[in-house]
Amino acid sequence: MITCAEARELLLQADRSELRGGSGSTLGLHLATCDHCRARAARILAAEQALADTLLGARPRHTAPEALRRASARPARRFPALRRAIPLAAAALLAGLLIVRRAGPPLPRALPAPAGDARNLTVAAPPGRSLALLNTANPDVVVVWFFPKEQP
Amino acid sequence: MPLTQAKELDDVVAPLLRRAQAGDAAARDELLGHCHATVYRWAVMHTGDADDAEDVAQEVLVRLDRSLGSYSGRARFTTWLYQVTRNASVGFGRRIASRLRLARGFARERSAIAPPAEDPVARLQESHIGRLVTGLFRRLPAKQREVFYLADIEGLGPQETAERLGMNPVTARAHLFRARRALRTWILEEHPEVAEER
Repeated sequence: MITCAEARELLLQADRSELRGGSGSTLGLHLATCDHCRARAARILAAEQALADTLLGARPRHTAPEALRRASARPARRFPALRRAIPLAAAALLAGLLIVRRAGPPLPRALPAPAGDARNLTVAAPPGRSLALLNTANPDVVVVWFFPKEQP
Repeated sequence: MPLTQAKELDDVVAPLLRRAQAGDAAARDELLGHCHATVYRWAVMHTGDADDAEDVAQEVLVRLDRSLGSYSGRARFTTWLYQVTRNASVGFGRRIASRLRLARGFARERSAIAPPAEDPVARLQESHIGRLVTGLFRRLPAKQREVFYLADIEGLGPQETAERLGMNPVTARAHLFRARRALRTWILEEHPEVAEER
């Protein structure tokens, strides 16, 4: 014999034949003697029967020949290969841009010669960097530019 | 055309299949007619929507019509047809996923603006037990839903259920137990009224 708590656990996984109480299983024997658990089993059976009726009762609106006609009347998707290629090309372009950006900012080919007051400044470049001094239109403002040394 | 249950479909289509593969158009039409309702029900189970299921069923009929000649007979016909339907449903789901996301976003915005009016007819329909339990069924994960449908709704045995889904019978059984446990717990805890309504 099992308790109602054990029967409630078994009810959750049992085959429907067991829920009907027809089998000689432990659960079946309990259901034969316990009104409360039998009522729970009946609720599960009723709900699952309603589910089966709903799902198995589903019918398509159209007959098979109509369905085929409607399917063939639907416009075919154009250029399916192109539709797949466009996202791939966009991804490749994005990857290429990212690679170029990771290589660092482009270095100037020819630096403008420092002029004016900048020639009188003494500025030391940090290790691994080169230095450029640029005058501006304002004589009080000089741009000091540290940029990565070009690798040989 | 009478409703052909999935379990009987193999027996019904076997003679038609040979004739259809030999080029008999009438046999092909009859075969497609027998498959249509079953394919539609499977599509309803997969998509959870009657209109989407119509589209999937149409697509499967077209594929079936085109590829009948390539069916080798190595697997059971219903197993093969189930796979075709399943693939079509998955493909359909992917195609509409982005559209659905957009629609849901729009619906959320709209409901935030104006709350939906109470519709007594809709509420009556909502309270119908079949709709309630179908709603719970759709909450199951896809694998559990498929196993539960094939084993407990269509009544396939454990071996045939596992074969149709291409999975180990022990795994199929585990999915079935999980599905039953989840569905029955929801029925008992969330909808105590379902038994009284029947």
